[in-house]
Parts: sequence; structure tokens; C-alpha cells
Amino acid sequence: MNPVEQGAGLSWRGCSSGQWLALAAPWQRGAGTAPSMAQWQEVQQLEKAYLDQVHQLYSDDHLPMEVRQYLAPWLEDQNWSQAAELPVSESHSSQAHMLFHTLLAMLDDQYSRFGTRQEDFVLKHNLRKSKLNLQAKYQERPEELANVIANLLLEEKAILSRGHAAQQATAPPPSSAPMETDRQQKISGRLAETRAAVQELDRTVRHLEELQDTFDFRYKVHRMAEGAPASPELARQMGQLQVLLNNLDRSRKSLWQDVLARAQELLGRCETLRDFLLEELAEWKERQRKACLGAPCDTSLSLLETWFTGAAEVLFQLWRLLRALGEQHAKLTYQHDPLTAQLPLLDSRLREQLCCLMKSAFVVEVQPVMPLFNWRPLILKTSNKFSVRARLLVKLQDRSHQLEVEISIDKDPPSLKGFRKFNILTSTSKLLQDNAQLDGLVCDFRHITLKEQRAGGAGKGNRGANEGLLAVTEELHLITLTLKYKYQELALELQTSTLPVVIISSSSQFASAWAAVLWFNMLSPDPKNQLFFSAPPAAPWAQLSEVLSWQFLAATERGLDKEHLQMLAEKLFGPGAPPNSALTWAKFSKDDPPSFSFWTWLEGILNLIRDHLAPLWKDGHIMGFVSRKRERQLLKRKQMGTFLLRFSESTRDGGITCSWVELGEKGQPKVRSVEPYTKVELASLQLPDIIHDYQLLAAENIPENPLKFLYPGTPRDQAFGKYYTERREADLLEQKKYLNRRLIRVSSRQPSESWIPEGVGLEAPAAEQPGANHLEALDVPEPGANYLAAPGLEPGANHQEMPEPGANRLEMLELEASHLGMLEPGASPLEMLELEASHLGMLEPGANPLEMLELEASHMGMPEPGPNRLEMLELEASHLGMPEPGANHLEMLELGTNHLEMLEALNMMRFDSSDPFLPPPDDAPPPELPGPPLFLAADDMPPLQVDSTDFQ
Amino acid sequence: MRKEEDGEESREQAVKRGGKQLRALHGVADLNNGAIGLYNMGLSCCLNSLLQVFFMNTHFTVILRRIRVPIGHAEQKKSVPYQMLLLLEQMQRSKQRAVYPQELAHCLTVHNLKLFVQYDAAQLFLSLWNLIKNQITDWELADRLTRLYTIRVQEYLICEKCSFETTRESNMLTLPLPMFNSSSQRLKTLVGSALQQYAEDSLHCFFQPEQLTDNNMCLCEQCERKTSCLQGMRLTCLPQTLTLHLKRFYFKKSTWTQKISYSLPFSQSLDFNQILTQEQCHPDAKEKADWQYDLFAVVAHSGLASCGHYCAYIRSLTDCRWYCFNDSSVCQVSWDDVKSTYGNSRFHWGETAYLLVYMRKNPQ
Repeated sequence: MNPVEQGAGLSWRGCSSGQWLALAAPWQRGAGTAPSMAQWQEVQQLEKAYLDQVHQLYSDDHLPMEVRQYLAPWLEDQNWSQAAELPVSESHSSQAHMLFHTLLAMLDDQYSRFGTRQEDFVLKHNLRKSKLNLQAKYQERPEELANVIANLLLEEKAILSRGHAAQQATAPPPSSAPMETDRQQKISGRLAETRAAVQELDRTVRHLEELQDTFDFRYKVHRMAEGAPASPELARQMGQLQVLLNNLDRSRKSLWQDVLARAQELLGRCETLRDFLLEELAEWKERQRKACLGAPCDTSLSLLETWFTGAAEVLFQLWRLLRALGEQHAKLTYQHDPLTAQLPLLDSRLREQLCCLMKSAFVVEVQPVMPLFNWRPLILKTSNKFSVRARLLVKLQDRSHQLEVEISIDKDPPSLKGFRKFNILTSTSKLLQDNAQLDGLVCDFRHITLKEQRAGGAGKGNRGANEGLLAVTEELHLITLTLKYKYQELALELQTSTLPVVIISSSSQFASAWAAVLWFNMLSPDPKNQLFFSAPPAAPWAQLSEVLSWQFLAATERGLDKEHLQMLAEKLFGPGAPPNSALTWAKFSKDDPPSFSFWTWLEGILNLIRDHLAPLWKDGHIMGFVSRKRERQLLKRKQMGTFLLRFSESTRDGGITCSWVELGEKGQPKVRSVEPYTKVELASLQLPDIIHDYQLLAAENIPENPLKFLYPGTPRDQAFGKYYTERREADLLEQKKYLNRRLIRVSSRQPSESWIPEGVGLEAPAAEQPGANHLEALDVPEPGANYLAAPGLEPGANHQEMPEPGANRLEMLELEASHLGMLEPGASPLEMLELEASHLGMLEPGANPLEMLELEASHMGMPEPGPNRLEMLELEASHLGMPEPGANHLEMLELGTNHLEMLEALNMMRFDSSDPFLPPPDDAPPPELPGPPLFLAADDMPPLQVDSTDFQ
Repeated sequence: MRKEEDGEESREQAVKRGGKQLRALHGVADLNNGAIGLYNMGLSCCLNSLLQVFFMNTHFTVILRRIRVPIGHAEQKKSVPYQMLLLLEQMQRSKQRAVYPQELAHCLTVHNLKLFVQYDAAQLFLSLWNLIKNQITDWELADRLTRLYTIRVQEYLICEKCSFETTRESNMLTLPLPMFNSSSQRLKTLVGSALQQYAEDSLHCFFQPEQLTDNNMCLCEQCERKTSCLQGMRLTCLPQTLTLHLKRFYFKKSTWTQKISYSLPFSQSLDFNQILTQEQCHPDAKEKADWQYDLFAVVAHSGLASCGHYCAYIRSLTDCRWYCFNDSSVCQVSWDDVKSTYGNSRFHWGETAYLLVYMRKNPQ
């Protein structure tokens, strides 16, 4: 090979011989790269059978084991196979030679480190012997040693993998560990592969540097010699040098080739890794979106952070390697150098990958949320504090720059008339910090608020003028976080946006704002589409039902089951609707007074459950969403007294009712329901207590609790026992000044009322009229409460028959706290029953449990209407056979015809209880029959003044 | 017609014979010595990728191994198939991870395929294949090579006035598949999975007849004037090794070539019976049941149109694993790696599939 041919395109840019000296311990430069466990260490941890194989491997004395031991890291860090393979000339084998001498030098170094202790003496001897042996054996053929070492390392690897395989086969994988998905395994595998590949590449590049330095040094010697006078000896040396230079050059070129090919290769594999990571991140974002809607999703980022950081480390290391190659290229290049064309290409490709990785690694970890309403994120109220947290998933250890995050809202607002503009108040920038508590590189914005920008000179009444095309709660705003990222020589601007937020100014908009958040995150394919509500798509039931269930799950820890959803689907789409039915946004959320939307209804029930019924709902005692028709089907087949709890479909703010089955007139099963209880009632009286004390006063029946078995057949007290307010025990323990009192609401049923047999196609409205036969019981155990009301008829207490000849209507009396408050001072131990006087008169002769009737109209503070118009019934509780232990209750039955008239008059002003949303045909109360619930205002009742002494 | 039938018969025999030989050589042709890389001799990544696709194809190497060795040193140096055979032998003997294809590169230079010139893989494939075919002196062998690679189609031109049809048989080495449909909309996949997606799939679009009107009107022999007509293609015969060429390089009006990097997914298997309608197949087309293919190789391009890099993903026919041949570096990869060459409009420098080589499924 002619030197001129090789050197033709060579452009010499000089190098210092100092670099040559640095070769003495080349492996030290590798420090700080791969922290992976050394092979030799792993080998030593193998089981005995495999250790024997290792001993076998080193028994041939090609390489003494102590050499392997002392120089383990260095040995593993050299490319021995390359040294063994490289084309070598007769006299010098560049790389193998160099490695051989370094090895000897390192053995000397090791030797000198031994002390003078006894045990060291033998070690020193052995090491010295080993060194001399090696020297003698391989002095002339260092490439043979390279070959031996290369093979030994390979063999070790083989033994290791066999050992690991056997280990894995014997030890079953820990079952407690969460199952990794296929992709997660692929990612971990791929990360390990690329990491190994980049380490390998790193070694090669360092080797290339060494070769380069050798070449530089020899070339310099060559050039110096050129000036010297010619002599045969010098000519021979020159010839040798020339050959060496050519060889060096050739191996260097093929190494460069190799490095480039492998870098291309590695980038290709990293692209797949990137695709995996982006898929995984997209899934996380989807999970986060669902979690915002209340779904139980794992939104932990720690795994993603590990992966992103790992991938970024590999790419950054590759980037450093490319720059090192670039420096070499700058020092020395030749014609058709592959680096010239390929380096820029690789650099661009790598930079693109890094940018993509970094950009996707900047995420919103916690979506904007107000601390007071943390179960419903993405709704912000002006001038209320909220927080948002961004996180960078690439957490490199050696960051040197301060990273600041800027927050802004609506960077590119949609050009929409009346679209409101906001400012973020207090501070709009914050440092990205490694938060040990949150375990991540996060930027936590807290205590920031929004303030609406009022258009200054827009003229007066600008709210009207600026009336937007979208409702306030349909206006979507994006909060953007921007990070100026710098690492080494890479500077990037990373940006991430929150999911769109709805900005409200009043708490009353909260429910409809949440409807918008639900709809957007359920249906918008583009998480940044601020104009989503310009044309909101309809929601397929399959998707909607899932989201609705999450609402219950989030608020109450119990979602909706199949039957619930079935009922809702029928309510929305009618029976037998196709499974792919979809609900429009307007039908879902738009109230159309006087009716209300599906969402308003559901939200009312959600609130009712959360505030008053949480334990019952959670334990599954509330069937809740069941149609009247279905309810009848269910109950009819059950034993009498079976009841279930159902949400009213006609109550706007959420109502719950009991329906039970009883015997009708002709002996057929008959299902009845009580007027729905709303938050007003439930605020003072718990539903289990209502159920427990529930009374049905029917004209021809003795009052009794018709609620005996919770569907399908659990005895009432067994199902609800644990929720009852414990009052009796308290009464026993406490010798109180006052007798305890309870408020029970009573409704009665008229004997004249016709019983409509079940199964008659035409449902008589009277029979199904909600609350038509009401008997409600309010119970207030504490004497201090504001409520005090009537009949102290305990369930199972002595029964009275009360024929009501005159009344052709049932009544329900509800005594408001305010007017009973008047009774408080003295009447607290009293329980009052208000009945029509004439009825009482009729009761008098025959009602044997009633022993005493006391009429004291003056005490009642009422105009004396005549002896038989107002009567007071005073009953001794014990006489009535009431189980109330030790209670010497007085009960007062009070009624006046004039009151009844008043009640009737009020009846006409009943609440309109027609279902405004979707009136099912069998659910509608007939218009001609007055609805029963009567709420008496304080002044409807004559003032009552009862002195407790009067009754003693 | 008669002639064609004869051709078919001899073809069947050839297939049988080939199968026997294949079995005899099984495990010899590809990956005999592990996968060996080829050093980049100077922008020769494109050549290297194509060579690997050739060498890994056992059906091709069976032919290559049977060529007549040219007589005379100079002839040998000039013979592309012979130099390829030598290179194949060298790769199979090599103890190194990669070899230098310098003799072959030198030989190609003689035939005007120079090093240090950026070639388009589709173009280079065509040139290389023609060189090989023309230099195989054995007529029968050359014929086998032709049948192994060429697609036979019938082009037709139907006058819309009188329905007069003009046809022409032609051979193609690759199917140049469009990335956009006739109304310049992006195509979404190589093969649509359902009927309604056909409008968005590239293969369907390729066989869709085109209406020639206005300036493009053709002379109808029957009407004896220029009429608007329908131009299209009917498939007559598909070869064992079917090469598809995604037209990712896009010449705008300027001389500036642009690369289209957006995603065009392809599948691991193709069934032309489900892709083509009755009208898109030639009535004489036989062996339609055999029009079932498995993906064999993907030649992927990374970088821009002006400066880029090629590598080849090849599924070994002997061990059925995917390998990536990146010049001197070869490694085993997964189908996910191949999938990441679907392309992505967000990345301009990433790897995108450019040539897809499908192999006919084995008759069993």
C-alpha cells in the first residue's frame, strides 16, 4: 500500500502529543458513564454449579484469574474482539499491542498497591508470577491475548445468561408485583438494549480517539523524520511507519464507518422506543382525562418518568458521542469522509428526536383545580384561588440551568364574539424544582386567581353588548405553561396546555359548568378544541353511561350498575332503544323551564346522595334508579311489606321515595309510594329513621309501618338497623328534665278511596298518585331541636281505629318548626296528634286504650269553637301500650274542622309535581286530584300554648 | 394464447424444481453465517440495503448460485451477478461482522452506477435488476429471474363515446403507489380494511381508472377523433417477489424534491383477491388463489430528500425473524421496529418505509 495513496486526501490539522500521554489510563475517562453492574461481579454471584463452570474456564491458565479479578472493570471496558480482529502488520499490532502494554502497566500499578502484610505477600507473589507469565507468553503475539480475553468474556456472558435463566426458571415471578403490560415490558427491554448499545458505541468512540491519537503521534514522528538525512536504516523505519500509518488509517476508517452505522441503527431503535413512549404517554393522558371525570384511574407518572429520563439519557449520550466524532472530524478529514455527509444527517435526526422527547415530556400533572372543589377539577371561579402543576418527565441529574415556567391563559384565543378574556393574578412564573416530596421535577402553581379583563372603552352595558355566542359555561379556556429548557447545548422551548377549563363567576353555574367539562372530555377528540361547543356532538350511550357511573363513583364510592343504567337509558331513549342511541348536548344539559334537564335531575340526586344518603347508597340499600313499571314488577311478586327506595323522577333537586307492596281491596298486591323526601326533609331527619318510624294511617286500618322487608327480602331492621339514630338508649340512661319528643308526619288513607287492582291495564291515577296516601313521620330525638310534632304512635304500638266518615280525602300534616316552636317551653315532652274533633268524638266511646280526653281550649290559646269542635286527647303513653320505655308521654290529639278547611284550601295550592323532564304515562298524577303534600306555614295554625303542668 | 399456456406449464415445473432446490439449499442461502453487514463505501447505504434484500431472498440466491461464471478476468470483473455471488460467498465465509463490497462497487462503477452519488432506492433497484438480468447469460435462468420479480398488467383505454377498448400488455418491476389520490387528498393506508376505506387506500387508488378529458383526450380509432376516455390497468400476473414503491418523493413544480413523511401503515400480509375488484383483474389471470403475500422486506429512508440514509428491514425466510441491516451494523428487531417506519408527519428526519417487498405465501 502506497502512503501517498492513503494520505492523498488527508488534511492535517494538528494535534498535541499530550493526548498520547492521556492514553495511559483510558478507562478512567469512561468513569461516570455506565453504572450497570460489572460482569465480573455478576459472575461471582452465580450459583455453585455455574461458578464451577467459571473455574473451569480459567483453569487453562491463558489468563490467570487474579488478573481478571484485579483489572475487572478495565478488562470489561476494552474492545478485545476488535483488537484481535484488526488487520495487523507484521511488526506492530497497533491496538492489541497497546492494550497489552497497558495491561502490564496496570498490573504493576496493582502490585505496588499491596502493603507489606503477611497475606499480601502471597498475593504479591502470585500477581508477579502472573505478570511474568503473560509477558512471556504474549509479548510477541499480543493479539492472541486479545483473542483469549475476548473469548473469556464471551464465555462468561454465556454462563451468566444460563445461570440467570436457571434462576428465573426456579423462582416464580412475584405475584404481588403489578402485571406489566406487553408494551411496558417492551419499553423496559428496549431501554436496556439502547443503553447497552450506546455504552458500546461510547467504548468504540473512545477507542477511535485512541487510534486517532496514536495516528497523530506516529504521523508527527514520520514528519519529523522526513527532514532527516536519508539512510538505509531510516528508510526501513520510514517504510515500517508508513505501513503502520496505513493500517491505522484503514482501521480508523472502518471504525468510523461502524460507529456511523451503529449510530444510525441506534437512532432507528430509539424511534421505536419513542413511539412506545408516546403511546404510553397518550394512554396516561387519557387516564388523566378520565380521572378528572371521576373514573378510578392510576395517574401516577413515576414509571413514565423513569422511561423518559432513560430515553433522554441515551439520546443525550449519543449526542455527546456525535459531538466527539465531530471534533475528530474537525481535526482530520479526507476526501469522501463518510462523516462529512452523515454527521449532519445524524445530528438533525437526533436533535429531532430529542426535541420530540423533551416536548412530550413536559406535562400537566395536576389539572387546574380549586382547592375547595377538588372533586371537580377544570372549573375555575373568578377571584377564587386555584392551583395547577406541571412536571418534566426527563429528570437529568446534572442540570446546571435554572428552569423557569411561565403560565398564561388563552395564548391563541379563538376569534369568537364575546369570548371573555382573563388575566392570571399574582405571579405568572415559577421555578421548575426537584421536589423530593412530590418525587419529581415539578412546577407547582398555587394561590393563583383569574380576573376578567373588562373591555375599557367598550361603552356602557358592555356585558349585554358582548353577549357571546357561547354560554359562559360552554366557553373553554386553555391555560398554557411554557418552559425555557436548557441542558448542555440544547435550548428548547417546551409548552404544555391544560385541558380546557370552564370559568364561572357564580357558584350557581357550577353544575352546568361540570356538565360542559364532562361533555368535552368525554367526546372531544382534540384536547385543545376551544370551539367544541360551537357544534357539540351527541354522546353515544355506551360512553355516556360510563361517565355517569363515574360521577356516582367519585361522589359516593359506588357507581351505577347495569340495572341503573338500563333504567336511565329507557328514561332517555324510551324502552327498547337501540344500544347505539346518542344523547344530544341540549337534551343532556339545557334546562327548559319549567322542566329541567337530565343533568339537572341527576345532579340533584348526586347531591342528595352525597349530603344525606351516602352510607345507604354505598351499601347498596338504595335501588334508586328504577322505573315505576319495573318497580311494580319487582315488588308484586314479593311478600307483603316488601319495599324499595327509589329516586323520584319528578323532583328537580333530588328526591327519594319508598315504595312498598301491600294487599289491595280484592286481595291482589298493590304498590304504593310515599311523596319523595328531598334535602329539606332529610336535612333534619335521616332516611333510616324515617323508614323505621314510618306510619300509615288508613281509615279502616290500624296505623302500622308498611315497610317490613327491604327488597328482595331483608328484614327492615336488619338492613337499616345500623343506621338508626340511637335514641332510646340515651333516654334510658338520662333522667332528663324533659320527656323526649318526636315528630312524626302522618298521612291517612280514606276508606272511600278505591283500590285499583294491579294488572288492570288502565292505571287509575288515584292509586298511583305520588304521595296520595301519605303518612310521614318526622322524628326529632333531641329536645333542643326546632321541630316538634305530632303523633307518638310508635311502630307496633297500640293501634287505634279511626273511622273518618266526613273526610273524603287524605291529609298530611306537616308542622313546621316555626309554629311548633311555640310549644317548646312546656310542650317538649308532649306528642301531639291532630285529628278532627268529630272523629275523636266517635273514638271516645269505644277506643278502650284511650283513657283520658282532656279538652282545654283556653290553654290551647284558641278561640273556643264549641266543645265538640276542638278536642284534646291526652293519652298516657303507657296506656297506649307504647314500647317507649319509661316515657310518661302525653299525647295530644287535636283537630278542628276549621283547620281542616284550611288544609283543604291549601290542598288546592299543591305543588305541581308533574314530571317536567319526561313524564312517563303511568307516572303522571291526574290533574283533577289535588296533590297531597301540605306545608303549613306558621300562621296557618292557631297559636298553641301548652303548659306541661296542664297534663300532669 | 397457446404460447402463454406453455409458459404457464413450464413455469409450474420451474416452481416445482425451484422448490426442490430451495429445500436442498435451505439454510444455506441466507443467514448461513448470521447476518453480515456491508460497509458503506461512500453513500452506498442505498446499494447495501438493496443488496441485502436480494441476498436474503432465497428464491433469488438460488438463481444467483446457478449462473455461469464468465470466462476471463476482465469479464468476471464486469459481471454484476458474478460479483454479487462473490460478495455473497464472502459474506457467508466472513468471520467479521461486516464486509466491504468493494469489488462489486467497482464493477457497478463500470456500469455507470457510481459511488458517492445519492441514489433513489426505487431507481437503483430497477437499474441493478436490469444489470443482473441482462448479464445472466443462461436464457432459462434469466427467465426465472423475470418471473420472480415482474408484475404483468394489461393497460386499457376505453373510449367513453363508443366503448371501444385498446389494450396493451406491459411488465413492471414495482407498483408505484401514490401517497395522494386523484384529488390530492392524503391516502390513509396501503390497504383499506373495509369497503368504505378503499377511497383512502393507496393500492386501491393505484388500480382506480382515471378519466382523461379535455387536453388529455385520446384519439379513438373507432370514432376517429379525440374523445374523452377511461384509462386503467388490469392485473394479469403477480410474481413471487412483489415490490411496492411508495411515492414519498414528491417533485413540486420547482426542482426542489420534497419528502412526504406522513404515516401510511402497511400490513404484514396482503391478499389481492380482497383488494382488487373483478374489473381490476385480467380475465385470463390465473393462480388468483396464490395472490396472497407476506411482508418480506422494507427499505426505509431517513432524512430529507436531498440528504438521507437508507436501511433495510428484512424478515429472514429461514428463521422468520426481522433483521435491520444498517450498512455494517445488523441487528435483530421486532415488528414494532418495522411498524415505526410507517412514517409520521411530525418527524422529518425519521425512518419511513420506501420500498415494500412482499413474498408470496407458501402454497401449503
